[in-house]
Amino acid sequence: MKIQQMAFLLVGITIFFALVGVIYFSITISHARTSAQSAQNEEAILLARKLAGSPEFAFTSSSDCATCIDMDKIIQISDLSGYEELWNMDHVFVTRISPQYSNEKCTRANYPNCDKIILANRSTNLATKTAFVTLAGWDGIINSYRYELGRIEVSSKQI
Amino acid sequence: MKNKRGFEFGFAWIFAIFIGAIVIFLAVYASTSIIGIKRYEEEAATGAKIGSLLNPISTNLEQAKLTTIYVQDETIIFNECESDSMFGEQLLSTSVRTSIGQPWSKYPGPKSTFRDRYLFSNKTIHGKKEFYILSLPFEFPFKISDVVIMWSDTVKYCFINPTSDFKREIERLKLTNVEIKGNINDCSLESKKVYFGGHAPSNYDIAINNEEVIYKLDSGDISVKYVHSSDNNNKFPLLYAAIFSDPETYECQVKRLMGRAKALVTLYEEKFDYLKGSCLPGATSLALENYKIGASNYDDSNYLLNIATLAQEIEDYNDPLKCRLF
Repeated sequence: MKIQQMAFLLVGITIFFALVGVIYFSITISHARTSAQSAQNEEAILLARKLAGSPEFAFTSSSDCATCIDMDKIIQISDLSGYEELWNMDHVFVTRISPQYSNEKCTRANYPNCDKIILANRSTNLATKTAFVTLAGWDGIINSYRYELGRIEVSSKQI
Repeated sequence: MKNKRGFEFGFAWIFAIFIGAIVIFLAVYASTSIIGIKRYEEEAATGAKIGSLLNPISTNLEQAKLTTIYVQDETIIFNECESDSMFGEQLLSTSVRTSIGQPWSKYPGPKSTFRDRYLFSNKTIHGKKEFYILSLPFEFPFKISDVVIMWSDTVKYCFINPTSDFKREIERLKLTNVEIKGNINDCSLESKKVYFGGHAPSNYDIAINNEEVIYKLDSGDISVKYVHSSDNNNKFPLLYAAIFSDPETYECQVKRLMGRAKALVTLYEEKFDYLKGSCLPGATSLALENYKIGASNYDDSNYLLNIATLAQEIEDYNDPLKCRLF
């Protein structure tokens, strides 16, 4: 009879540890998910800075602004396919802050009289990271480059 | 006399042994699973960390950079390259040595995928404590990307008679585990011997002559080609890439770079069309078109020298422009 009681006790202990294990794993997995999301957010901030320096964004036509974004180049990317995959991003917006022309989305037809270039926009409910940048582009009227204040918003793919 | 007080092996005992066996089995199973999960987690974290580390190492300011990654346990990094799609894929995974259970896991950790990074190394890089990462911008003639080269503390390289400008650059960068010698016999026995110039002695591992890199392998010699970068301050990214990679990885990554070059030249063609009206009246984009055709036809590094001629044409065309394309 005592052995039977012991056996039931062992079963009870096993179930107890199994439950503890399930709780431990659910906490660990949730923590891992949070860490992964936080790592992705950190990477998004780094990417915002890195994007500004990538060959597709960087202003290399003149040597006077190494950290500027070339608006004349990125407006062309907005019509080309495959770049969302290249940077692994769900959301990439480049917006001119000052001076403002119009709030509408830039296309090749209305550029440069517009303010927002959308390079990737797959989901609307994302926490985006922002970095302020200088935007550069050729101005045919003044026959020189113009430099303006802007910002780049990015968010990486959701897990 | 017969002992009548014998041991009774009844249901209660059988039941207790059965339950005990289940409990022990579950305990052993749970602990091995936990160890496995923890190892997988560590490998995934290391793989992602290395991938992320390739990011800030990128050279926005057009300078070469040498960085060391320190690992807690002996680690193997698996570098896989796919060049089939538009930008190809860089896949990274790791395996970490542990003291519990099997020292190396049967399968590496999960793969991290990158499309905008180009890691040149052997397919497997085994490091005890340190991995070295050299990042160099590659311009051809516009900047294509940063070339990232990786080796570890388990491999030593001996460069014999490098050209004077290459030697200056190696000394400036202070590459770890790389020594320069004038004679191949002065190299340490275990080092990988990289011989510069013609008539290489028979005990070389890699020979470099006339923009060609020859690997001495068990299966026979294999050669690849390299070109100089258009950036005069960093002329040798592809030479470093070829030395520190196996030929298959080198060919795959250069093919991916040429895919990126093709995408970039398409972008510059579009920019040219936009600027034509306001800044480039009467200009033609023939040089860009030729380069694009050259990059589209790229198959292996033997094509590099042809594209280098087209790259020079674009550079000559672009430099005098008031509104330069790049």
